[in-house]
Order: sequence, then structure tokens, then C-alpha cells
Amino acid sequence: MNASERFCTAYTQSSASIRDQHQQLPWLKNLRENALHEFAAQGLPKPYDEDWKYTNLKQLEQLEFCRAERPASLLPKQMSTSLPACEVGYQLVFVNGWYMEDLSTVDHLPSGLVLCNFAQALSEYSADLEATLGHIADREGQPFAALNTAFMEDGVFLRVAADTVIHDPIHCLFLSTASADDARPRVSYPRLLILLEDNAEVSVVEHYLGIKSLGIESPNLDEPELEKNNNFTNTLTEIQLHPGASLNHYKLQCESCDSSHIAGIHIEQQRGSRFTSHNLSLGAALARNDIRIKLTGENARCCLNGVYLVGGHQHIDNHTQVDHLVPSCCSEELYKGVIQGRARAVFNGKVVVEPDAQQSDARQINKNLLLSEKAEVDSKPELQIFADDVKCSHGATVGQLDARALFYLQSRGISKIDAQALLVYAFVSEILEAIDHPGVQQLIQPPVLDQLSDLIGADSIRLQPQISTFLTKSGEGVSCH
Amino acid sequence: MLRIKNLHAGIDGKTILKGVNLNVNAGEVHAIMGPNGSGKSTLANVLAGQMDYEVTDGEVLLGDKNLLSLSAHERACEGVFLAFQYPVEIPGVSTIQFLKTALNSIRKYHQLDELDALDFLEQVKDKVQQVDMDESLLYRAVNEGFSGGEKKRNEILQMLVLEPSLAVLDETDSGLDIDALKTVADGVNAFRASSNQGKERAIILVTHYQRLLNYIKPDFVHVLMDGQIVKSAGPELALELEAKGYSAWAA
Repeated sequence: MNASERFCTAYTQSSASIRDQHQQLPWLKNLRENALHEFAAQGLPKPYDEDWKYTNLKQLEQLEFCRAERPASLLPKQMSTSLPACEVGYQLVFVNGWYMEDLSTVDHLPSGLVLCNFAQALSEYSADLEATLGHIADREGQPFAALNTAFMEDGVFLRVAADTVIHDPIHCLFLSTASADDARPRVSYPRLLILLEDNAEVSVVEHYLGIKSLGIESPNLDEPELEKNNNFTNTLTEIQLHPGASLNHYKLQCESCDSSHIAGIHIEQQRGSRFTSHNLSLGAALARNDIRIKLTGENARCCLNGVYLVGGHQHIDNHTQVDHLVPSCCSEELYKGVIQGRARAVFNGKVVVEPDAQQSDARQINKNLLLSEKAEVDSKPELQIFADDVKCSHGATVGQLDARALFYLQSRGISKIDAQALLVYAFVSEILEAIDHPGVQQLIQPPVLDQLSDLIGADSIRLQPQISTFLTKSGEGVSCH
Repeated sequence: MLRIKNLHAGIDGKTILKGVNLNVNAGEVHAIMGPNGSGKSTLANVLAGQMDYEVTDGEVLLGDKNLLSLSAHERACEGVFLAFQYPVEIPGVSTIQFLKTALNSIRKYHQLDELDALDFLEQVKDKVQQVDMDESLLYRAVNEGFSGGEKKRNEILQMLVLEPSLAVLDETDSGLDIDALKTVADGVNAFRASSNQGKERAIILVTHYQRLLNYIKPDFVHVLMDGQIVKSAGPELALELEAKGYSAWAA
């Protein structure tokens, strides 16, 4: 049995709760089963698929995953470590794909904001889900979107009513825990559905974090750690922005270093809507993001910022696609990567301008900094332009640290390693600066600095307390204002 | 303070310095003059620890420390400062962050506490005025988009903030108009004067022209030709060079 057959067989062993759902919601059963057929027909991507040319799925094919069990409920005080959180705002916590009510903070929601997990959404907002769930994401040519749709069981439903502005961020934290050495690795299928009605505004953080364990454990600290975490997270986010709506979307991926993470973010943007994406990839052995945006209404605008910081044997693949379907839309994209060790990064930025989409404005830049001789990057811009009155540009660079700048810093008393840290941080800072919510900054900066320190081999980046005060004002991270 | 003995150095297998000897005492200003390609910038860069240059023979002592055994940042921490002929642009790092990181690195090397951010800012602002630099440049990326004059002022600002014991100024006068030249010279003279306050300071000026020496009066002038110092004398030597050129010492 090959890997995609194994996934399909798992479907027939679906849980009692899924069978219950299917009895009450026939549309959901149809959606899942259609998706399963679509996945079975496509199978896992092969190296000869153009979209997967540089990304090998051997690890996924070889491992036999099992569905993560729903964990027993946990109170915050039972946690061995405190969970990362924004100082303000709302938080939904998931463990191996399952919603943890007692760890989440979703009380006192302001009027106009619906925020809940899937179980609640299916019983209370079934009509909303039936109309949108699975309708925004493309599953054709996207086998992992199909796979997620067939297996999704829990996730986030977020709806912001017309003319409602939510200032505090919504933090969706997906924890993946290590398992015992002899256990099978786990697969989870988080799903998010985000609907913004006319002129609504909100910020959402999707945060994926690999951790050793959850509860109060390890009474004997001398015991060697037996846990491994080569779990597979297959997540899919669908976003619909109605006219004039504005979404700040942050994705912070800090999965464990042996795990696989394959994510899809599919967005439909209507007239005059704004979508700003900040996509930070730090963890996982194998990570892939597919961000697909359809600009379906005039004057819609999207800004895609991305940072990937990888070392060791990590592999990160970012595929973005922006479809300009109507006139006068604007898309801007800036992705920057730091690649160390034998790590490999792939960037594929596709922009399609349809014949009707006159006066489209599309800009795309990908810059890479290689810190070692064995590091590798494959950067591929792809423009398909079928209209004649458009502005489109793209650029890609691959470079190393500037030896002259390194000497200049050293000649002022800064050690070589600190000088490297300063230059590498400066390279990515323009994108971090574009994160204008202070609470989200506080959430994102520590793991970014930790990963940079790891890549450079510095104890820590000592400059961090000053970073926010002394950053240059000339950052070119793209923003939608 | 500085003893250079029989220094041989080169780059890419080509020998440039062929036995330089020079003694610089605390409080002194030495000008090193010479034609293009004589090795002036090489000497400045070798002293600062630019590792592209290979030292093949000789010795450099700073006080009792063997300078050549130290890395570039250790030399800076020991008090060597090179004002660059072509200051480097560093996108994404603000000048103020750069200055603070540098000063605190040097303080850490000497096991001193890091400076309080506000005290530091006050100090820097005073010195920014001293070199007549626009304060807004502090918050811009180091040297990025700075004019030639602004870059040189920034070098002098760094010297005033980091307070080295030995400042090596590599063609600091090049590309400066007369007002900028005066300001830069004032900065250097202020630095020199501060050696009277119990701090040991010495300056090596590497220059093509006598012009700078009208504003910074050297104690000694040396002529560097083909990698060796061929003549050393008092400040009057600079005037002689200006009148006669270097041909008198040409081999």
C-alpha cells in the first residue's frame, strides 16, 4: 500500500464523532467524500509535478501516521510551561489538532465577533459553514487541500460582522506534542475558516508550535529524553474578505525540527478589500506553504511578507499565487530567507493577470542570504500576463554576508559573531518591522531571534532590547496602508 | 604607544609593505604621506586587522600587546580605530544602534557595565553637534545614502564616541569641501586635545595632500615610498613635499 492509499484507508476508519456529524449534516459528508475522491485521484505529489519539483516528500511517504487522539482536557495550571500568548486579545489553543477549551481565552467577545471551534460552529453556524467551507480553497492541483478537507475535524471559525473593527489580535495556537519513541507519528488536520463582512477589520495569528510535552511530567529529570516529534501537520485556511474588509494575517511556524508541515492559505478578496500576510517559517524538517489569492473585486489589494530562517537539513518551500481576475487590483510581495547548513529553500511566486484585469499592479521580490556553502535556494518568479495595460515586476537575489560590512563592524569592536548576527538581523528586519501590532511583535520576535541565534551559532542576539527602538526607519516591508 | 618594526605585508601574494619602522608616542600626531600605491592604505588596514592582508614579517606592539596576534575587534577594544577611506554602507542597521553596539562591546571587553540608553543618547547628541552632523542621520542606516562629507563626519563621530587611544585616519580629507574639512579637522583636534585630560591619545594621519595638515598640525611627517618610510622629519617636510613632489625620493 503506498502512502496515499494509506491515507485513504484511514478515512474508512473514521471516528464515531465524524459518523454522527455526517448523519446530521449531509453536506459535510458530501464535502469530505468528494475531497477524499479528489485526493485519491491526485495522490501525493510526485517529483515530476512542476509545483513539487524541488520538494521531496519521501519522509511523508515512508512514515505511517496515526490520527492524533483527542487529549484529556487540561487546565492552564496543569501545564508544565506557560504558553506563548499576546498580551491582549483572544486565544484558541489546540493540541495535536484538537480544541482545548480550558486552555483557551474566548470570553467576553465583543459584539460582531464570532469566534469558536468547529464543533460549536457546526451546531450554531451550520448555514455559514455550508455556504463557504470548502468553497474558497482550490482542491484541484492541491492534493493537500483535498486531504485536509477529507479529514478536517476541528479548527477555528471566525466571522466578523460588517463595519466591526476588532483591535485585539486573535491568536490561534496549534501545539504538536512529541510522542514516545516506539509510537507512530501523528497526523493532524487543523482547519480555519475566516469570514470578514463588509468593512470589517481584524488581525489573526496562526501559530504552530512543536513542544515536548503538555502536562506536569518528567519527575525524573535525569532520564534521557525518549520523545520524538516527526508528526505531520496538514493545515488549511480559507479566508473570504467582503467589500472593504481588511485582514492582517500572521502565520508563525515553529514546529519541531523533525516534523512535517504542509499548509494552504486560500483567500478570496472582494472589491476594495485588503489582505496583509506575514508568513514566518522557522521550524519543521519539511515545510511547505501554498498561499493562493483570488482578487475578485476591483481595487482589492494584497501584501505578502515572508521570512524563512532555516538551517541544518531543513527544507522550506513557499509557493504563492495571486490571480488578478478584475481590473485595478494591486499585489505586492516581499519574501526574504536566511539559509544555513545544508538547508534548502524554494520560492515560487506566481502572478496571473487575466485578460480583463487591466491596470493591475503586481510587484514581487525574493531575497536570499546564504550562510554556508552547502545551503541552497531555488527562486522562481512566474508571471502570466494576459492583459496589456498592467504594471508587473519581479526580482530575485541570492547573496552572502558582505565581507566589507563585517570588517567595518569588527573594526569598531564588535565581535565577528555579533557582527554576523547584526547583519543577518538587519537583512530580515524590514519584514519584521512591517508587523505593526506591538502585541504580535512581542509574540513573534523571541522565536525569530532564537532561530537566528541558532543559525549563526551566537549564544543569543544581544541586541534585542534595543531592536525595536533603534531600527532604521527605511524598511521596505510591504504594507497595505 | 605604538611600535612598528620591520613590517612586511601584502595581499594576494603581492608584497606591498617592505619593512616599515615607526614609533608613535602618546600625544603625538604623525602624518604619513606618499604617492598612490606606496602602501599608505595597506599600512592603515594592516594595523586595523583587515585579514585580506597577510603579514609576512615584522612586529607591531601597542603598549606591551602584540597587535598582530589580535583579531580586528580585539584591536578595536584595545584602542585602535581606523577611520575608513571609503566608509561602508550597512543597510538595516541604524547609526545609533551601531554606535551603541560598538561602545557596549568595547565596554564589555573591559568588563564595564553597558551604558544606560538615555545617558548614551545624550553623549552621542553632544558629539553629533561637535562634528556638525544632522541628528536625523543617527536614525538612518549606517552610511546608507550619506553624502561623501556625511560619511566622513560619521567616521569622526564614531572616533569621538568610541574614544580610542590610537586613531588611524585613512585619507579622511579626500572628497571633502573646505567647510567639511574644517569640521572634520576640528573633531580630530578636539580628540587630540582630550589627551591632555589624562587620556593617552595618538593619531596617524594617512594623506595624499598637505591641505589637511594646515588644520591638523602634525608633530612628525613621514614619506612612504614603495612600502618603506624613506624620510621622516617635522611638519616642514609636508610643505617641502607640496612644493617639490615625491620625485626627489623616487628610487
